[in-house]
Formats: sequence, C-alpha cells, structure tokens
Amino acid sequence: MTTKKLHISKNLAYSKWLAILLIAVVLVIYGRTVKSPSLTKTQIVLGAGIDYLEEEQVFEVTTQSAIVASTYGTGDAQTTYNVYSSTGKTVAEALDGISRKIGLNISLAHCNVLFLSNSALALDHLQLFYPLTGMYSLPEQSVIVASAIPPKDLLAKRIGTTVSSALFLQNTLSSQEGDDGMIRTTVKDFLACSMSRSHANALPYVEVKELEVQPQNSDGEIKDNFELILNRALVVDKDKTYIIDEKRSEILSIYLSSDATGTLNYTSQSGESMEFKVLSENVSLNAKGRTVYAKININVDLLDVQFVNTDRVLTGADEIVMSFAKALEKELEARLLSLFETSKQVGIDFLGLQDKAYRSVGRTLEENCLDTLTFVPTVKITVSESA
Amino acid sequence: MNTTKRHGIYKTLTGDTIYNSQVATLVFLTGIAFKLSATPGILSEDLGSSAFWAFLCYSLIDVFISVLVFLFVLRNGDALLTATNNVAYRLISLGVMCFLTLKGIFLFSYASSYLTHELFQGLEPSLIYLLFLLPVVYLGAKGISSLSRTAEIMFPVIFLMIAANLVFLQTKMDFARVLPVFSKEPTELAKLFPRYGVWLGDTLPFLFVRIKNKKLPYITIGLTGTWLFVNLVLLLGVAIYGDALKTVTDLLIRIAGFNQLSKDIGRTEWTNLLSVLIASIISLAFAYFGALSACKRTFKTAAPIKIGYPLAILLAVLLIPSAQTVTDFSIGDFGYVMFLLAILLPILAAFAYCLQTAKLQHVSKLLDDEYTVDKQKPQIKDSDKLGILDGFKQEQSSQTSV
Repeated sequence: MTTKKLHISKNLAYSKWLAILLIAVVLVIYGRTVKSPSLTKTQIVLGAGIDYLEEEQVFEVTTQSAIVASTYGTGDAQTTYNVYSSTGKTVAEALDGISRKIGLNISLAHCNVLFLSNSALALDHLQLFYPLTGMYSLPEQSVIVASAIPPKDLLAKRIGTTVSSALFLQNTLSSQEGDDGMIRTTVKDFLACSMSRSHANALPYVEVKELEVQPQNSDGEIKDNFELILNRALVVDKDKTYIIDEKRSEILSIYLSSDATGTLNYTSQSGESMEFKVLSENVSLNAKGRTVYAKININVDLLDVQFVNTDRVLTGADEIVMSFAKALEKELEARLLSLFETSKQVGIDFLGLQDKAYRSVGRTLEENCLDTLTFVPTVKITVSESA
Repeated sequence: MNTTKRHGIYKTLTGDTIYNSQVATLVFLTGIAFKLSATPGILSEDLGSSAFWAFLCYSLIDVFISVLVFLFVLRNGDALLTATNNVAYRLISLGVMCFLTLKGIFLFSYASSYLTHELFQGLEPSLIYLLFLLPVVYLGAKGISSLSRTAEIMFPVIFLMIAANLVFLQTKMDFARVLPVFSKEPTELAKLFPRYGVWLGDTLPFLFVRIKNKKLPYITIGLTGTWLFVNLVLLLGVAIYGDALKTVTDLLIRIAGFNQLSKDIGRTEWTNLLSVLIASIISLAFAYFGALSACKRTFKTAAPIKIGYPLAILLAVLLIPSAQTVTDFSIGDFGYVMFLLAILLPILAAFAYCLQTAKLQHVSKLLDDEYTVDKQKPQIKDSDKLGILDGFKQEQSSQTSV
C-alpha cells in the first residue's frame, strides 16, 4: 500500500518537472527563434495628427516623437522632438510609411494628444478610431484636438515654454479644463457621444499665433515660437462643424465636464467687473419626455473685483457680490439657451439633448428630433466665503 | 491529495474533495474570466442600452444553475449516482462533457484571437496557442486539488489588482446610459436573449467535486460576491462607454486604463491583463477538468477527452481561418443549444438524483432505522439505574464468590 502511494507521488513529481522543462525549452529555444517586436526598435509617439486629403483621397498622418540621446560618460541627455508625415489609403498604411522613414516600429501607447482635421472628423468615427485603440494601442484617455491649421503644421509648431506642442496641450488640457472654454474630450468620450443618439461632439479648437516677443537665451533670440489659443470650441456631427465663440465655450465646457475648473467673469453694463474662480461644479441632466432639464450648481470663490464702487475688501457674504453672482447665473442660463438655439440652427446636438430625451421617451423617439425638444437650464452659483 | 495547513495542523482531503473556501475562489475566477471580457462588447453591439439588463438576467440564470449544482454536490449526488451506476446520470455526464468541450473551444478561440490580434500582435500565433494551452492542459489534468490551490493562491492577487483599479477609477461616467431598458421590441430582445449560452454554466464542473465545509458559508459568499462584482463592472462599463461599449474587446482590461494613478506611473492596463490571463487559464483548465470527470462518469475512462479536448481546441484555432467565425457560430443559432444545455443539464442531474433517492427510499429508511438507535441511545436509561439486572448481578456475584 505504502509502495503504491510513493509510486504515484513520484510520477507526479516527474510530470511537474517535465512540464517545467517543456515550458523552459519552448521559451528559450522557440521564443528566441521567433521574430518578436522589440522595445528598442519601437518609436514612442507623443502626439499624432490625422488629416484626410479629399482631393487625393488619402490620409496624411503626422507623428511627433521624442528621442532621448545621451553621451557615454556624461550625465547629459538631450531630447529631440521629431515630426514625420506620411500618406496612405488607410491610417495604418500612412503609419507604416512613417515607420519606414524612421526605421522603427510605431507605438501610440504613450500618445496622449490626437489632432484631427475637419475632413478627418467627417469620416466614420468607429472605423477611424478602432485600429488606433486596438492595433496601435492608442490610450482611450488621449485628448482629441481640432485646429484651424492642418495637424501636420500644428505638430511642427514650437511653443515658447516647451518644444513639443503635443506635450503642451496634454499638460494644459488635463490641468486647466474649463478655464476660458477649454474642453477636454478624450477618445473614449468622443466615441461614446458619436455613437449616442445625439451623434455630436465638442472639441477644443486650437488657433496658432506667433509670439509677439520671441524668447531669448545667451545666443540671442530663439525664433519661430508660437502660442496656442484654446478658448474656442469646435462642435461636430459627421460632416457638419461649427465654431463656438469664447464666452459660450466657457459655459459649454462646464456643461460637458464633471470636474471643470477655471474662472467666470461678470461685467455689468456700467463696467463693474468681478472674476470668480470655479471651485467645484455639479451638472445634473434629467429628461421628462421631450423636455430636458439641466441643473448646474457651481461653487465659486471671489477672485478679483474691479471698478466696483466700494471702500472695503469684499467677501462672498457681501450683498453686492451676491447680486453679481445672481446676475452671472442669469447670464450663464442665457448663454446655455443661446447654445441650444445654435445647435438647432446648425443641426448639431452638441448639448446631447436627443440622447437624454431618448432615455426618457424610449425607443419610439425618432432620429433627428432636436427641433421637437425643449431645453430648460438652471444655473445656481454659490459664493464661498473663504476670502 | 489536497493538504492544507491551518493553525499548525495539516489537514488532508481525499481526492476530488476541496474546501468551500476554495470553491468560492474558483467561482469568482471562472465568473470574471470570460463574462467581463468579450461578453459586454458583444451584448452591447446586439442589444444597445438593454445590454446591462440582459447581462443582469444572464448572471441571475447562472446563479440559479450554480445553486442547483451546489445543492447536488452538497447532497453527494455524484457519489450516489455513480455508485448506483445510474444510466441517466451517465447520459447527463455525456452532455456535460460535450458542453464543456464546446465551451472550451469557443472561449479558447476567443482568448487566443484577442491575444494574437490585440495584445501580442506580431508574435507567431502558434507560439501563443502553445503557451496558452500548455498550462490549461497541465492544470486541468492535474485535477481539482491543484486547480483549487492555484485559484486559492491567485485569488488575493487578482482581487487586489482589480479592486485597486476600480478604487482609483477616474473618468467621465453617466449611469443613465443603461436606459431605456428596452432598446428594441421586447419580442426581438427575447429572441436574441438566449443566444449567449456559451457564457453560462461556469460552475458545471463542480458536479463532479466533493466539498468539505468550513465554518463560514463561503459558497454563498462567493456566488453573491461574484454576481454583484460582475454586474457592477458591467454597469461601470455601460456608464463609461455607452453605446461605444461595442468597440471594447476586453472590458476588465480597458477599465484599468482609467486608473488615475496612470497619469503618474504610466499605463496600468497590464495589471488587469495579468488578472484576466490567469483567470482565463484557470477557467479553461476547470472546464477541462469538468470534461475529464464527465468522461470518466460516462465511459469509465477519461482517456478520450484527455486527448480530445486539447486536440479539438488546437484544430479549431489552427484550421478555422478566423476566430470571428467561431464566435459568430457560438452566438448564432448554436447559442440556443448552449443555452438549453447549460440550464437543462443541472436540472436533469438534480432530477436524476431525486429519482434515484426515491427509488432507494427503502434502503435509506433501513439506514435511517439503524441510526435511530444511535440517536435515541442517550435517552435510554442505564440498565443498572432501572434495577432490571439487580437479581442477575447478585447471582453473578454469588457465583464468583463460590
């Protein structure tokens, strides 16, 4: 009996070592002989741009990547930002072209900004993004940016504070969403809105302006530096696009975001001006049938007061500050209503109202019913008394 | 033999017997492996906003199947039906064997396709098949003890990784995206609903396992916890993606990408990728173990399926040109067959057990009678105290003195 038991455990021990040996053999011999992508042969892309050239009917893809080179024996490392472009019938073909140009495989795994031209935005969004997030590992948290100039030119622009425009946008949009109309739309949110009943999206619209005063260093002026202006929004629904002005982009970014920060200004007709800093916000959207109610609660702090006739330091508890906050509430409501009217006029449901109504009405709600909906926005501003 | 050490004492269990705590870990790992990978995307594509509600109903059906399975196991149904050589049970085992083999083929095909096309693109697919199949076959063939110990060791690691990714989740969400409940006509939804049977019956292999209970009700905790967890993750998936959920090939891995720590430490998808890979291997190995045990009950030998299961899987991934073909087949009309099999097999097993018990009622009664004496024994007063043997004792003592 004892001998039999020992015999079984011996067999098991053998089979265990045999399996380990087999795995080791496979990993060492077979793994070494099979061609596999290596990290040293991969180009890490920081920002990418996609343009669709309608005349040639080809995609023009541009990538900006960082190459860190260090000299042996010294601790110095120099970062070079390279911009490459290539065209192809598909995005993958164009990326393959870039890969051949630089002699490295392309990886979008660390690409946090994606620039899209208006012509690229007019294409099928699912077909545009699926290979990028799947095969090329583009993070779904990447920010999508639209621009007045082609993505190729935008990526090549040198910003005063950093050489890389992609890095600049990544830092700015992730930290200052809501500030002066900056909207952060990620790849994931873009697809979620695009596939909803509303089909529309709002993106940060970047304008480029050459710096009035170029930066200086010991060698003199560093030329060709630009500033990126991000205070407008581009709303898009397939082939329809529309640019929202600065003031309305401000409330749009608060409406679309859940954690926007930034400042809000109210200037009275007599020129008295107050600036409020947004501390937190809460947007609640409810639909009852075809009427959509938007309740926006904004908690603000008094930041700056100018041209107000007072001889003391104002705080959030002061009557005049409260009255300015009330006036700002009304103004923001008016801006939201004007956005609704614009959305109906241009036929782009960037407020996502059809999607909200669909959840209330159900599957019987017809497509493109924006004209049949009612929008009721309510803004409530609470001024904290931290000052 | 399954040996565990608790409080310095080694406890050894007989073959095919595991603790209920180990059952709970297996329930969790098999419950999340494939339900939270392909299922959400496929359901969203077919059902739109109804995907969450359909999944809720599906997971409830799976809990019902699991409850039946565990009631059968806790009453030693397998031991009784095997000992009495029940023909119906042999046929049910044949059904379970076929179901688990098909499930193994479909799920392995999906997993390998996902690995080759989405994660390790550029690698030789045969290498991935081989490396993925090897631990599945090894672990499954080693038996339930090794499987349950592996699950027990891996569970805390996997649970902590997934939980950390959920705790630090930061992205835009809208929970109202689960509405409307009926994105299509209810009749159309009802027609589509039973096509996803391949994701049911994860706990069927437990039919052939014996369970030793610890103090806490681990099985109930495991079943309830897994049900809550998978539905919570799917709810988050719908809230995060909305209708774009159909573009998601593996929800659990994608969700890890929204970890707020990723801004500081880089992409964190690999944490859940590791969890999903381990859970998938354990899940497929568990199905293999179930198929082996079912084959043993049917043909008295496990040899046919020992070779047949890995061979069928390899042939499916190598000969069928596209994994999409396999997926389409599994959730096409054949999905109805899988749905019916997953529900009917445990019901039939329970029915066979009840019939057999009724048939052997007289034997049970005899056994009960035997035990009645034992039960009543403490109530019977000692003969000495009743004084019945007083005279006899005196006679005996007088005889002794003589």
